[in-house]
Amino acid sequence: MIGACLLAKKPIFSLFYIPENLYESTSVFYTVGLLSYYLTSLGYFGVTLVNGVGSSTQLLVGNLINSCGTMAVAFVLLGVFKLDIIGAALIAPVCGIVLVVYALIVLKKNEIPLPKTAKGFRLDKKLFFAILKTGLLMGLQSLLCQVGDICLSVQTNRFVDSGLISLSFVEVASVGLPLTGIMSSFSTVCLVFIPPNYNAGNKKRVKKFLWIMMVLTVSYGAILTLVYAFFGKFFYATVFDDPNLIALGARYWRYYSASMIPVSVLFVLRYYFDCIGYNRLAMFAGVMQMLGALFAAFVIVPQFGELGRGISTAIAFSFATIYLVVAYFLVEKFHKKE
Amino acid sequence: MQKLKFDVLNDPIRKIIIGVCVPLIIVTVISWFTTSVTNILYGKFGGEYFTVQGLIGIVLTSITQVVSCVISASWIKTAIYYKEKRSGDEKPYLATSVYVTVIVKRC
Repeated sequence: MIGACLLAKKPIFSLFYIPENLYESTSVFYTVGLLSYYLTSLGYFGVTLVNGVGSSTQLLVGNLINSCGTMAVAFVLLGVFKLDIIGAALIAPVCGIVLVVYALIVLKKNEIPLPKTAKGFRLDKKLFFAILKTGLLMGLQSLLCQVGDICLSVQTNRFVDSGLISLSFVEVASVGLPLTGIMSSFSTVCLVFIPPNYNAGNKKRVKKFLWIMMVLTVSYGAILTLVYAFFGKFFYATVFDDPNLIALGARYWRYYSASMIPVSVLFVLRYYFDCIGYNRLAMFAGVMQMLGALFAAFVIVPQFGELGRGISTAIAFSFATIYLVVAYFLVEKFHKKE
Repeated sequence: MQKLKFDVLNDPIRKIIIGVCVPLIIVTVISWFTTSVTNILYGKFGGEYFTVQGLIGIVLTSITQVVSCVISASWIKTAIYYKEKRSGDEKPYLATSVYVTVIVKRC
């Protein structure tokens, strides 16, 4: 896959309307990012392993390494060695190595042997294929979401400097702050709680849990809406010195704030369906998100430019969220009939 | 094997939510700070990082997202199988989930 992406670099770049003056730096970032992908994803896997088998302290330390490590590596590669764009592309893989080492230490400490060292290890074929099936369905769902995002990205790049969208807008839109990270922790607790309880037949307990999670996550989504609407100027002032970029960033955050409530619902409901074995229902949420993103990419962005790009996330997530809420009540009705 | 601190089938829901979420929320709040500092470093020393990321970043993100889904599936299925078999030894299931994730990564 990586080889194919590298070989197809030129057509991909022309598809994404990469400007000529940025071709070289984009090429370096793309090539280094792809070549080091294996290390980066191993790092994610390391964090998941620690989350799954570690104690609370080990979980805390693992995630601290993940977030503080990125900052430390960025400081060394960018601040000390001045590696510029190559350094920026190398940050994730270097952190990946650190996380894998930590995951191995945790496994050893908790006396969990790796497959090759597990005494009398026999691959559970049934589980193997069950994971593969579920994983690929979830992966397909994710890819469907990504198709919409890819089209959005292509369409945004296409209208750069046409008067509708400026390159500066693309720049400010890519600056992120992990404010939705707390919603991810709500998804994690769904993964921990729902599958065992649902399979043990504790349906009432699962329902109670789901409503608590919905209240928590939507309340947090409402807070984030206010943060994105009113604190953009403050945030962008910490990243850029240029007042134009700061004003543009604040405007982007104001548009983006509209997506927070739909996102919050999605974070819980999508995982709920995955956890109770309704993977296809969850997958169609990906389809709806893709349709929303395509609608935004081909109808809203060409019409409204930067405003359209800013609210595109809200449109895509709203499509998926409305579908999931309807699906939830239909499933409930179906269960009651049973 | 370290004994798990939560009994997800019987413990109060509040205890489980707090037990799982609090460490992750602490980490997230810390990561707001570290990401802000990293953003400053990108802005000052990362050259055209933000522009390049905005133009082509989605391609790299798409690849990593698919792998993340297989990792999530590993945990969901391993938990269900452990509950079903209740053999008292989850090692073979954990090992299988490690295997399948690594194999998908290699594809």
